[in-house]
Amino acid sequence: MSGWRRRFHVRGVVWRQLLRWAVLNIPPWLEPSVLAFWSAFFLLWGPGRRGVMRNLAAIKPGSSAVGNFFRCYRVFWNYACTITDNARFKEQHTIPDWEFIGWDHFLEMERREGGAILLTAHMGSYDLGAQLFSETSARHIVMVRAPEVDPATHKFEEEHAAEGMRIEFNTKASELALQLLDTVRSGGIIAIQGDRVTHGVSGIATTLFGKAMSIPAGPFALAMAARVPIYPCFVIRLGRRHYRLLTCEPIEIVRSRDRDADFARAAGAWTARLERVIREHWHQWFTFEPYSPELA
Amino acid sequence: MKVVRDRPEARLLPARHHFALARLIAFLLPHRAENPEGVHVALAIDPNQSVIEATIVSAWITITVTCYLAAVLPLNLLVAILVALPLSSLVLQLICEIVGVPLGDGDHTRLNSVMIMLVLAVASAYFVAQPAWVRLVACFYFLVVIANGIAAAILWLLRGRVRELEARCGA
Repeated sequence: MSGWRRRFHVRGVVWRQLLRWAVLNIPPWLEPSVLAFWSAFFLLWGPGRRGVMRNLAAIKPGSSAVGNFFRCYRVFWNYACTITDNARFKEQHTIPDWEFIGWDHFLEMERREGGAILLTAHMGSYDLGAQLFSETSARHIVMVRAPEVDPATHKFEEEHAAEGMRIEFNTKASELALQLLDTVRSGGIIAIQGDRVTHGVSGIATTLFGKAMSIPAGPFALAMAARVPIYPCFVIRLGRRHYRLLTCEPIEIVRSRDRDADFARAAGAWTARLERVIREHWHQWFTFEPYSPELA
Repeated sequence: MKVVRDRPEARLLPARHHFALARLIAFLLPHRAENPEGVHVALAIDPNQSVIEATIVSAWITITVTCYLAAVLPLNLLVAILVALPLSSLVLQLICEIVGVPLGDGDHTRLNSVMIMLVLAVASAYFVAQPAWVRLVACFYFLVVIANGIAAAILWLLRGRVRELEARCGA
């Protein structure tokens, strides 16, 4: 794709620039109708629409295509609201209302002597959640994420990143792994999204809603090497500028002679929690391609 | 930005609403709420935090612009409304562009807020004189604006009690 056309691709930089412009120019009280319009516009993005509808068919077996089309709109709407809240936070330091469930587990993670892995999914606002942690937690937190597909978008996001957050990109997995291990052993917390494997990242085979999928092996390998627990943590959008931080019971990787079995047990525990959360909050799962090869 | 922790009654504080009418309604509603067990909340005190206010105002403005556009389109009324609905969102965004683009980078939300209301006031002044159904829409616009003005005056008179309420809720 030529540079000019790439800018206007759905993941291109033009839409990020337009979002930033909108946040700085559209009055907040007009947001709902403007977001409704643009959510409908992006339904024209065929691959994304089809990806979401196929995922929904797996999450809600027996659901109709027409029903999933409208559910897909709701996913797009939630995504639009989430990235808008994110942009408002970066540009105007507007923060949402927060509700905390599983606060005991969060405090346990906060107070433990060693580091921890915070495993989350592509739900709610990863950036807002990370900023919440950096403001409420005294611990050093590093957020690991996949880089933007479009280099111009990647550069734009780096230039407009929220202040004070440390973000690492999982492009050079081996170098990053050593840095992250060092961070965790020093008592830091690593936040990683564990519901998608990107190119160049090792995966563990598991199932989600009965379909085969891969989840990143990194968090489990890190947890095993550093002997720290994994805290499943989800940021769920409940409404306009209203989010829930759900912290679940930690997953401990118990070492045995069979490393693969240890990983499989931990991955199974993670996907069980992930499935429970996605089943209840399917409209929050921002996965725009089929999550399983069986759905492609 | 101020944040109030574990005070769910702060959700309806006037300070979390933008327009005077919404702030007055929020002030008059009871401020009693409880957190379900095991749930903690942190509420931001920002004038644009209310979801009900934003949804109602956004819907009202969009419907008003839709009606005005439908009234001028040379189409059957039902078709005109269907065409005008997506157009209304574009028109509102265009107003923001016309104002915001020449001003360059920066936060122009307040200025655009005023401009949208001014443009609507001018449009409503035109349509209120028209002998058609759209006249009712224009009358309703002015009714809401007048009610908002009265609410602002009432809130000014009650400013002490509003401050007391906000202090009681930790804001």
